[in-house]
Amino acid sequence: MNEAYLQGKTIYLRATDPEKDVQYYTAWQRDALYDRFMDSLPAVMYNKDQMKEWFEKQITSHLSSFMIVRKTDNTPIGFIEISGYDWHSGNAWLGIGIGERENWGKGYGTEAMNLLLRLVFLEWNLHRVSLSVLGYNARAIRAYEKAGFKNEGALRGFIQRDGQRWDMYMMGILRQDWEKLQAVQIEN
Amino acid sequence: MDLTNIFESERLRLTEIDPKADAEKDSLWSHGIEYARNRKTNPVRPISALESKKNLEEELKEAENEGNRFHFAIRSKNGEEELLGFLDVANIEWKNGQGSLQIIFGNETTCKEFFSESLQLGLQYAFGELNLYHVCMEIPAYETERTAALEEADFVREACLREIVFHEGTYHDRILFGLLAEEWRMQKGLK
Repeated sequence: MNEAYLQGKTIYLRATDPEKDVQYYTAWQRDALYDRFMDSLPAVMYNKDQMKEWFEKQITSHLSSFMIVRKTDNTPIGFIEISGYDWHSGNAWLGIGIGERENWGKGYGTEAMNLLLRLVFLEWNLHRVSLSVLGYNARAIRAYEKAGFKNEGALRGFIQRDGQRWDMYMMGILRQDWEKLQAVQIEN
Repeated sequence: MDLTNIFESERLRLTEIDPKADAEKDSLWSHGIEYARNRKTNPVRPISALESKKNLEEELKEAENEGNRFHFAIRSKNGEEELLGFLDVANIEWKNGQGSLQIIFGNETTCKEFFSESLQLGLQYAFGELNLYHVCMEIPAYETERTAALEEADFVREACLREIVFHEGTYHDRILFGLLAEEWRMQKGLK
């Protein structure tokens, strides 16, 4: 694979290694807000063995997972993954997380998404990428819009936390949306 | 509300699934492309009775282990209790009171005749028995009869996933419909 696909300006992507990388996931999950941004299901604590087992089950056919690594110190700061492939319709689902709060809002996630979208549209021949995001995660919604995802609607009151209800936003980017964005970037 | 009667309506009955007996029809119906799509054979293709039996058994086992799916056969109330289709409430997130309702009939004629009636059975189960807060149904945009039936039943078009279904050589949207428990209760005149 052309390495350039995985090289950004401030970060690069590399394959997730269940043996070495579960330590990062178990550290990130200590932050309840991180957990509550990641999933609508109950926030839980997995130990390293449980997490490794989950990865080993998923990673061969159902999941392509990458670590987002900061270039200045080669430290993994988050992950990005594609799962739920529907090859004949050319759709798959994207998930992303940046672990430590001090690394939020710095554009690392946007850079990782730009890399991954290039890979799935130019090499995997996907037609679209989908994601869902919890209504209270405004920062993520802005980042997804910046990467070219469009808001396709919201499942009303999908999620309950602390006695309140929030919507679940559904977002998607088509290959043609992404191509238009690339054209604009070249012109500028 | 009749508490003794949540599994039957005027012409339909929800029953357990019998993988051995029901696989034959499931296999036969899977030769129709929309049925196969709804049964989530990937890619869309017909399956044999043997494969169907295996699938049904696995689905039931998974439902029992995970506790987040309730799967029924839809049968005709008269005579032989003929199998007409399947109804399930799946992907339940108990913490959020969320679930998706899936209803499939063997062919278009029975779907047209019974979809709305089975929908009411499904909603009664999802809201009345499972105490869900929100029920979601996913329909490809080109299935205009089913989308019309859902709107008739006060479902709201909550999202439209663009070009996510590939069918007859082109991409089609998938509509996500939703109904809240409070909307269903109001509709039924329940408190």
